Amino acid sequence: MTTATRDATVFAMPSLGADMDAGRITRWRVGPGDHVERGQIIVVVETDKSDIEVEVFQPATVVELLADEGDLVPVGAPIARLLPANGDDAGPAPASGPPPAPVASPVASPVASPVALPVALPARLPADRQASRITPRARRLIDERGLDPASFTGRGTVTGDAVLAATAPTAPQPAPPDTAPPARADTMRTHIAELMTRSWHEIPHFHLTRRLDLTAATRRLAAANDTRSLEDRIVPAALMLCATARAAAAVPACNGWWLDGAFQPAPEVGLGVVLSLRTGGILVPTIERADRLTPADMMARLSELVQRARQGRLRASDVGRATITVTHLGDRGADTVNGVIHPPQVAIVGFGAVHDAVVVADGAPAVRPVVEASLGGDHRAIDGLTGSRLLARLQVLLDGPILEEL
Amino acid sequence: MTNARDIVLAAIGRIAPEVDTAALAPDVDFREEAELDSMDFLGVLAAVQEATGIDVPESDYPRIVTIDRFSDYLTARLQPSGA
Repeated sequence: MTTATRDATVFAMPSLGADMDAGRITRWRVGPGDHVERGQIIVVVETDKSDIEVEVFQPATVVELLADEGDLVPVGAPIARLLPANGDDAGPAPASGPPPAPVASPVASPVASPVALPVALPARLPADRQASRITPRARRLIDERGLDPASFTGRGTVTGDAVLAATAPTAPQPAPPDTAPPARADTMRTHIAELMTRSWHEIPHFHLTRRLDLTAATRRLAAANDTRSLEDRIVPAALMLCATARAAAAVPACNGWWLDGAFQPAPEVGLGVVLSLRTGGILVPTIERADRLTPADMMARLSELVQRARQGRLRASDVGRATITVTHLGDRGADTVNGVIHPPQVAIVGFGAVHDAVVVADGAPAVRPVVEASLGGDHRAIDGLTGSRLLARLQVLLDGPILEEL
Repeated sequence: MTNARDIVLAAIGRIAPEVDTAALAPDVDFREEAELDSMDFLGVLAAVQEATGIDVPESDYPRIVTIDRFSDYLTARLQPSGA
């Protein structure tokens, strides 16, 4: 805490998902001599799955950049030297935000969870960036063939097909530049495919469903929103995320990871949230400590994540290690979703679309707003009774405590 | 001056850039047609608010679910105070 040292600290390539070995520096947003504020994005890093904006968590001055744009840097290797502005000895905080990551060293190399979330995006990139973009597959092919990446740039996005075409004996010309978005989407598809296949192969799933009555929640939400300006309005999804996170905290057997043949409970709730992209594919950012957020905070977090996902850029603090995942189909979705667990997590909660249904209320039929909630559980770690407990908890939370915070 | 319909279409286009807004039917629920969920719909309203200053209260949502009705709604609300 004291100003014992004014030495520069090393800022290292952060781990942005557990299966990340290295990241490519896409763009520096700062240079030597620049002052950076807490939360400022200093560099954009490309991983196998997506571009991620990396922030610093302490004010500092940039002393030196240790990697160039285009460099592939292993996780944990230094990429810059920063001089903390206040002499604080902590240095730049872990790129995963202020999460449960046990980072004691001044290097930003947090979060080594065994499996990354499928973070990826078919982003539409600005033209100036497309000019020098090389897809991960293309990079692999270039490396395998010992080619010079520079010989491919400047012709729009370099795809794997372009590399193959250029090196094929019969067709030595680059592919058309407009193949970029499909290539990016393909990468994401591949990643989702791998993760979900692994999950389905390894995890003995069971699914439970429970219809939740949202009469109280809907009524209270409408009353609350009526007096709120647009930016403060809350959608039902935010309540369901709040309820899921708190239910996970209340039933800790569902909140953690199956690692090395045993369940390891998580100390916090990191809520993975499946976001469907309008152009196809999904992104699964993590909301850290989600069980402690009020509905308003949850809504704000959800809004910014949706916005960033749409722009094709998540931040390092958005891709922390999730302890349970929720998939919410939105109000245009199907009635029910039975999700596939994201390993090594042991549970996934699903919500269909809120809809009116005939239910039995006080012994008589009544039309009520309901949502079908599901829980997919890893039967190695949890049983039906445990899962049922979590689903029951959702109803309790959505009838009471969460509504009081509206 | 931009008319209300253009404002609505531009707002939808901002949230759903892959949708050809000109091809949207004016008299059916555009949330259905453009596959907008509640978060997207809030985004559309925010874009409209940016352009017009009009904050559509939640209780008015049923009145603005088609492009025709949304345009009429905006026009009506813009007129009394407007030039």
